Order: sequence, then C-alpha cells, then structure tokens
Amino acid sequence: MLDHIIHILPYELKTIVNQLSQHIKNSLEEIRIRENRPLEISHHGSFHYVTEKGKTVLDSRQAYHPTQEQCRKLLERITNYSLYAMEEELRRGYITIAGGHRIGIAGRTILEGGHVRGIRDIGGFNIRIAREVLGASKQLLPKLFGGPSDSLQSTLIISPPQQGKTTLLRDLARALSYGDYRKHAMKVAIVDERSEIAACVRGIPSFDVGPRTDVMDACPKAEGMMMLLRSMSPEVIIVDEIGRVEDAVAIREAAHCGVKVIATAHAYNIQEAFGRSEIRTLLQERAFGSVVELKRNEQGFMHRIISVDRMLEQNRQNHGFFSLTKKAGS
Amino acid sequence: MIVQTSVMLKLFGAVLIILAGTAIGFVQAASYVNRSKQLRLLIYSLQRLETEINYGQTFLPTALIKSSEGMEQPLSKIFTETAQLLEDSKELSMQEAWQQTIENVWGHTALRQREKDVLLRMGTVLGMSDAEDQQKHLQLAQLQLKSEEEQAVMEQQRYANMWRSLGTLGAILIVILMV
Repeated sequence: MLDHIIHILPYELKTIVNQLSQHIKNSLEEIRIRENRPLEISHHGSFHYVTEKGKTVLDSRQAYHPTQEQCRKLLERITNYSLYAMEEELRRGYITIAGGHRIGIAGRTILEGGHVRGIRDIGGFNIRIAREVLGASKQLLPKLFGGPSDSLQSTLIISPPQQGKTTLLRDLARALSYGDYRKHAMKVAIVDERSEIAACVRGIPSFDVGPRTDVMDACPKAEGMMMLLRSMSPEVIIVDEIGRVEDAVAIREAAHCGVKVIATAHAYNIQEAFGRSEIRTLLQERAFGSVVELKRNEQGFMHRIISVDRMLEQNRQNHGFFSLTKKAGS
Repeated sequence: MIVQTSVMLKLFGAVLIILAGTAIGFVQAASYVNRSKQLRLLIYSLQRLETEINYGQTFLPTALIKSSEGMEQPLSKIFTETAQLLEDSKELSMQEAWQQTIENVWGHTALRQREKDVLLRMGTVLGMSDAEDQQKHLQLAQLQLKSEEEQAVMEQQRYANMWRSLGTLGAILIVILMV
C-alpha cells in the first residue's frame, strides 16, 4: 500500500518511513513534510513526530527536519519533473499520484486577476494515504435493490466526515460495474470533482472502479452529471458531496432519464440532512428511493437504511418531524 | 640496388607524411563543420522540447526522449540519458541528472564550453516552473545557441577550407625540408 509513496520520497525520508514500525505503517493516514520543520505523521487518529531513526516522539525538537533539497526532490518526483504540466493541480492545491494518494501542497500563491493561478515556493506537503477497501459495500449493496420493479434505487448516503463515505462509494461503483450482486453488470458513471473516488492520474483511474465505469475527473458535479447523461448513457451515476442548487437540477434530470443516482452528503444524521433545503426538496420529490446513514467503528462500516417513502409517510402522520424507521443495521 | 631501396623508403615516408598531414587538416576542418551542424540540431531539439512542454504538457522525461528524435548519436544522448537517469535512479534531482549527463557526453561532441554553460544554466530551471516561464528559459537558451551557431558558421567558412589545404601544404613543406 505504501509502495507508491515510498517510491516518491527522497532517500533520507524513504529510510525513515521504512523504519517505522509495521503497526504504524499499516494504519498510516498522513505524512506531513514541511521544509526545515519537524517531520510529522498521523495514524490511528493521532499524530506524532518522527526522529531520524524512525521512532515516533511527541517532542518536536527530537524530530527529523527535512531539508530544502529534499523538499525540492520530493516536489520533482511528485510532479514527474514537470511542474509546468501540473498547473490545474496546483490551482486546486493538491496532486494525485499513482495509487490514488493525494498530496496537498502549501506555499506562496501566484495571483492573476485576484484568482490563484498556481503555487510557487512550495514548502509544505501533506501526503494523504488512500486505502482501497475492496468489499466495503458488500453488506449494503443488496439492500439498495428494491422498490416496485425490484431494481437498484437511487440512494443518498449521509455521514459525518472521515467515516468512509468515499471508500464506500468507490466500492459500490466497483461492485455495480462488475455486477457482483445478481450478476448484472451495470454501466456506471462517476463524477469525481475532487479526484477522490477514482483518483485519476491523467484521466486513468488509480483505483479499481470496475470494467464498465466511466469517470469524469475534476469536473464540477452538476455539469459533469449532465455531460455524462448526454455522452455515456449510464445506468447509474455516482457523485460525491451534493448540496447545491445546480446539483439538485442535475439529479432531477437524471431521474427523468431513468438513470439512478448514488450520492453522498455531509450530515451527522438524517434530521440534519433534512434541514438542508436542497436535500429536503430532493427527498420530498422522491428523487432518492432510500437514505443510508453511515458510521464507522472498529468492526467496520455501520449503516442503516431508511426508505424515503416510509419516512415521508411518517412525517406526514406526525405533522412535523418524523421518527426514524430502523430497517437494517450491520 | 641499395640506393634504389633508400629512395623507395624516402618516397614512402614522404607519402606517409603527406597523408597524415592531410588527415590532420581534414579532422580539424571537420570539427568546425560538426560544431555548426551540432549546434543547429541542438537548437532544433530545444524548439521541439519547447513545444512539448508548452503546448503538449508532456512530462519532462517523455518530452526529452521525443525531442532527441532526429538528432545524432553523441548529442541525442544528452536527452535520452538524462531521461533514463530520471526514470531509473530516482535519487538524482533533475539538475544533477542533466549535469552528470552533459559531463559524460560533452567530450564526444564538437561543442565548446560556451554552449555547455548555456545548457547547464537551462538545466537548473528545466521542468520546475510554469509553462510560460519554461518557454522563456528555453527561448533564451535557443537565442544564445543561435548566436553561437552564427559564429560557428563564420568560423567554418573561414577555417575549414584553410585547415584542409593547410594540412596537405604543411605536410609537403615538411617533406621538402627533410629532402
């Protein structure tokens, strides 16, 4: 998993990361490299500094301080010695490398007409390690099928940040595209605005998102959905983080075309999601067949599925806020 | 009989000297011809590199290999070997790889220190700025090489023929002096 990252690190940092204990390596989440400042890693939700010998410490003074030369080499390798080919990425502030890992960068920005055109004098890197969890959607997938025609239903997945929405979404795309469930391989299209789901490198997905999957990379969601509807005739569109007015328009358009949408939204629970007007409208219009609430714990993903029909029915009966129906949990 | 042999030997020696002198003259002349030719090719390949970087947004190692096409052996190595070093070792920075390759290859070319300085200077920025900036640096290098080329062509016209005749004539002079 760390191969791609070790590969791009300059020699000294490579040695240090290799010396980390296996336990830490397995759960490494971020490596933060700042020029002439302590080397930091985060794992298991906490952070540590790292010494030259690969020991984790809490005192920043004992930590290894990456040099300017190492940072330059790191930048050269991340960009494949071609900063000029990365202008779009620099404008967004991160570069995706092979393996789907994302490297955030910070430095002095270059402005043009008040907008950021790029970053130069890059002095900080945040290597975020991406983990592909094959089979993350295994338990959820069968429950997304249903409704009158007993087919895949449009689904809204809601969860707080860092709970594995993207991982789940990616695995759903893969499973639907391969036809893992019911042996029915579907045409899947992904709008990957932040290059997180498929982690495309030059248009080619780094993760396995399935053989029948098309990805519109780094594309605004609403526009991407419309483009895919016109160009790729998908059966399912997968999209991350919806919530704006344009997104709702595109989702309605997809529903009119009979295309299913699996989308995620940031919210702690369904009540909070219902509080956001665009999402509420979409739910009331029954653009989604079901809502999945997602939580992560030590055992893996926890989800419960709420049928939108029943939710709205109860909501009407209660003349106000609904109580939740527990349909499933695992 | 003995006299005849010594005359034969002298004649043979004289021919050898003349041949050697002519060869030296031609080699010297060729170095002028080669220099201007290599400079011309180098400018072409930098133009190609500029296009690859600025319009193609090709990654540098690939761009280097593409621009080396159409160049001849010692010179094309500057590009291909740098690309190779970057892909292989992963321990050298672009600047180090470029410098190392130029040092290795330079002896086999007909180029001089001034061109070397131009290329080395270009190597310090190659790849590591935005496309606009890359273009400026590459165009600057081309401009400098062009003025070198003009000079090289002038030198070629002036000295190449001179060396060719000078070699033979010099050898004949030596023969006459020795006789």
